[in-house]
Amino acid sequence: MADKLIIGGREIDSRLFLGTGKFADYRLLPEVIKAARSQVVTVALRRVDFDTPGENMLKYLPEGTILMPNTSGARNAAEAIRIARIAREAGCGNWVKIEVISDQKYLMPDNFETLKAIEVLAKDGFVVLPYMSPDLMAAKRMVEAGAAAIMPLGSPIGSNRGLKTRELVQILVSEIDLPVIVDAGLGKPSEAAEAMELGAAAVLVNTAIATAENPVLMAEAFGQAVEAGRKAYLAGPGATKQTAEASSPLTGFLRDS
Amino acid sequence: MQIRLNGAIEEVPENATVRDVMKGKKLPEETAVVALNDEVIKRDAWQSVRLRADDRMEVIRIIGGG
Repeated sequence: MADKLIIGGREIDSRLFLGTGKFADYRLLPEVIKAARSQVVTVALRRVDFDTPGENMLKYLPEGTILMPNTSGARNAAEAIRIARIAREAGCGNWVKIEVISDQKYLMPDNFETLKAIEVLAKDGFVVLPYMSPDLMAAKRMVEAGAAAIMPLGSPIGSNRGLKTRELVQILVSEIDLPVIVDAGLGKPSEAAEAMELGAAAVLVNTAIATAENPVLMAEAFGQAVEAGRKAYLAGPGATKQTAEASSPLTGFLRDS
Repeated sequence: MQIRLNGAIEEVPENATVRDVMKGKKLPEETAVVALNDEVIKRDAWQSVRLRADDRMEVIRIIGGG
């Protein structure tokens, strides 16, 4: 039976979602996306600075990419809802990553405001993927409110500190029926593999790839790690033990007794 | 008359259209998305939508983000 990832009724080919922030040059994006083999890609909306307007980065995203605009900048549900609606009308599709943050030190997401935003946007026909702090009850309410997946953080955005929330993410994987996508803080391919091994449906990676010395090579490494981690999860890892258990029988040794 | 353009007060002629304001900014058109009072105005409607005093116009672009 094929192992499919389905979100919002759509089959997603890759379990590595890619963030597009912090790249030195947008021109790297096509190669990075190809190396990562990502299909879902996040983007953000900002006011144009009339003095340095910048370019349209959408032209660097290949056909077939699923855009997931985030609501970064939103400090409450109303701001997130506004950004999501503008993004959809601007042609970004109906997927949205809800990101509601008013803590500037750790960029911890506000689960309460995020929940309110889901309630409105899900009814408004969006495919809603909330970025959240991994609390089981918050996640359950987000599912009831109409989220299409749950995206708990691994560690603070941009920190590259890995799956510090492992125990809490494990609980979400065990108790939430929707895809659990670890988003934020994964700093190395091994950390992405770790998330996948414990049963995450996908991971979202940005900083670790964008700020690597060789982003294209790092993207490829992350892509392979996500695939490996998923296979390991499906293969059913053996038990762990405190003591040793020999690989071959303890009889028939080639030695004098 | 005054409108709010990207949060700042901007003086525009009476009966100015969205197109008039955008031309005045000399932006490459493909860069920008325009929202007027939170409603996106499609590019082909820029010349027919007239602004009113105290309108909130946002000129937005899509950038990289995580």
